[in-house]
Amino acid sequence: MRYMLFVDRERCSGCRICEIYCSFVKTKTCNPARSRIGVIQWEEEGLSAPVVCHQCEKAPCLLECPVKAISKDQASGLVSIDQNVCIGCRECLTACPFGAISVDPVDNKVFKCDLCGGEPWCARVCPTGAIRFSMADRVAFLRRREAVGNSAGLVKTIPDGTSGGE
Amino acid sequence: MEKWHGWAGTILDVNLTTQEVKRVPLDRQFAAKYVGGTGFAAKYLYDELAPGADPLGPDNLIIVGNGTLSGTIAPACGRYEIVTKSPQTGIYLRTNGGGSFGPEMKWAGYDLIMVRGIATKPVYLWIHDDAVEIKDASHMWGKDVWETQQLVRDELNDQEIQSLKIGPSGENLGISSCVIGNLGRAAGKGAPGAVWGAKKLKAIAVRGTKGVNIARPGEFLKASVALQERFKQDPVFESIQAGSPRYVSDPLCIRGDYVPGVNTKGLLSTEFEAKYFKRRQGGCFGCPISCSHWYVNKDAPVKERVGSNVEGNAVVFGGMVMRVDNPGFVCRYNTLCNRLGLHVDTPGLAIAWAMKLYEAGIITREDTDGIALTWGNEEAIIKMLYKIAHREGFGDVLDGYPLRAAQKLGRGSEAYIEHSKGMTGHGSGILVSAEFTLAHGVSVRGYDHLVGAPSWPAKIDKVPGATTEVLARLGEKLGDRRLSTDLWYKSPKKALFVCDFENISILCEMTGACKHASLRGIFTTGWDKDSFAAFLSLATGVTYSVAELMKAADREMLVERAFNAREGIRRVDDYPLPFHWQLKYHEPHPKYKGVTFPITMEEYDRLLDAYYELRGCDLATGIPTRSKLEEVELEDVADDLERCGILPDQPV
Repeated sequence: MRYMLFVDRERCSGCRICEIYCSFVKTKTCNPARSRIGVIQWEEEGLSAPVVCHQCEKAPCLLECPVKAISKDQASGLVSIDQNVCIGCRECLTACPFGAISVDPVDNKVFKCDLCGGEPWCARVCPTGAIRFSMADRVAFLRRREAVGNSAGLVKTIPDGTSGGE
Repeated sequence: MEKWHGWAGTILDVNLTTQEVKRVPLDRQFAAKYVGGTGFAAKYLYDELAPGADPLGPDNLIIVGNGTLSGTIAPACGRYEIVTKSPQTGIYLRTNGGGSFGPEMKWAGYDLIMVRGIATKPVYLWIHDDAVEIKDASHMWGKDVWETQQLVRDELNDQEIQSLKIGPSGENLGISSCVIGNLGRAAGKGAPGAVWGAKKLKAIAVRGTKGVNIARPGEFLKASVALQERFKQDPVFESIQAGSPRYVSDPLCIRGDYVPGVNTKGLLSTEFEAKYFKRRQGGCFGCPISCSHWYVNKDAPVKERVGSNVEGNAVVFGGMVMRVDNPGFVCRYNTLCNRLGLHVDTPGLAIAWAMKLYEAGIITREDTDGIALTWGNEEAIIKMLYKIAHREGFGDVLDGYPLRAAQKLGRGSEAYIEHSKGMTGHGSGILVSAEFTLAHGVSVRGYDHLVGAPSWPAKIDKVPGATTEVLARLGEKLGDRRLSTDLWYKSPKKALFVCDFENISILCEMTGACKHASLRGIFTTGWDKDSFAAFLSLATGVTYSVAELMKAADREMLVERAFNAREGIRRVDDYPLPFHWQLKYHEPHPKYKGVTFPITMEEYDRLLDAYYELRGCDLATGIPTRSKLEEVELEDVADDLERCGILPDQPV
């Protein structure tokens, strides 16, 4: 079964805890420039959103790679880069529609999210629940439950003595 | 070269007169002794700035610091610090702000940025890791803070750049000016913006890709995860997350003459939050609390429509003191202050002062450029904010509040100002509790609640999740429950309470930790002395005990007090708000309805004596003694005070 990181932009506070933990766990230094996940902010609009690797089914990075250094694991769905094969042409950077592949400012190698072997730190430490990790087929159910609960105020109207209009 | 951990290892020293840029290696012994942030900056300012220097002259230094834990995974440690000599008070100033600037500066490889001299034309500093450039900012001069941030990012073609900048107020050397990171993360008090303006420094832009190394990464990771979890489990977490307006609960200004009969409840209610705050939280780098919520006020003019982090002071000084009870207006005021580079407290207090004078007939429309400064007049306030920022017409008088404004205006208006050491003040600080009064009085930057006043002195039981028991624990830690539960307990031990809070505040400023996230001890499971010691040890590889950290905090405080002593600050200046001391004990307060003056001069004097004894300062003058200075390894400071002829006790 495919797991995925899914992002709820409405919940992102822009704290970048995901970035700093990601870089620390992967490189032992606190350095967002080396983070696999990146939070993009539009301050004047009050918007921020983490950008994650989607481990695409038809991954453009994989298709674009001229030396087939990028492969997809059929069991887990993980898309990964084999550094022994990679020639450092960086075609994958532009191929990725999300900007989820970066170049490490320290060793100049391209890198991407590896889902931390199945327990991604970004989802674990996100304080607002904006980044979650779940089986892909469960995501829709989670979203539906939240959407209905939020939009119609259905949950609130259950008679409990506290509702009954503003 | 041996790798640095926790600290970045470099100090940037920029001279705008000579255009010289130096990258100075940090000394390892100095780093361990002064810990970081304001600890470093206070000592540099003391050593490098001769007494009597003009705050707006070329000799004054702007020292920007970040904490030792800044830019790491340690939660809520992203604050930047500015240390300089204040043009408002003429004494030592430390002031700090949140956002992302501090961490970005750390990742670029710097612990301190020092700027001296004066540029011949407007400039900004562009720091990209090791590359540092002084760039022309002529086209940015006159632009507001938000425009400047965008201009810098566009010009350098990198939207991830973080910057500190000033608005029109700082450019015009305004006493109400501040320095702003992101769009509204202000280092506000004491007019640091005017020092930037005087140096013709519009902004410092920084981008860092070098990161921070940690001495013991495995344990640091564990400790950070655990602390972040503990934050969330704290009973007061939710109310802290709601932001500081929530705990402007029943301040004196509601009861007082400022807002008679006005229903200010609307300013504090959750309806205010529901109407203007979007559901999305916002916050500073690395903070799991995220207390600064984004707001949209659709009824406001375009430039004042959106913004973030209305905090407690914006509600009080951008609303209540001017008798405005409209939450939408507070949002407008907040945004406008951020754009113009104004500190949210000062203009509100200045305008409230003018409204009082207007009501009393001391000033009329002829003085105020035709603007009717009647209580609660929102449009008049907005017009005045622009005038204050540009120091235009009556705005020039108001900008100088408190001392300079009263001098300029005369006519007995000085009877209506409130200040301590020249810093704007307000009765809410000194009529609350004995420790509040003392902390505001002795504060090294002038009247202020963030240097040593305990958080939430009163009404803690109104904050969801917090109880009197939580409060009692604070006193118990110092051996007496009454210290924290009895507001007007006038035991000399209250001085110990204040010293303890001052030191925790200093630890926050040394590490970059947010005082909101520690609440200087009251956050039952957040940042406390033990966690500071543990995190600093793991991050830097230097082993710190709590006792050593408290000694380092004492050291910084003594450097700061010595700095002020050289500038002429004495015991007589360590009293809060002189205006109030004319009142008799338990006499009804003329300004604050239903409040009687709760402390006598003699009682305050006893507290002050106790404070000086704890701080190792001379009782007659408040100046640090040689024995105390030597105890904390500040022999050089003792020698210097002796050279200046003001050292209280001479060596035997």
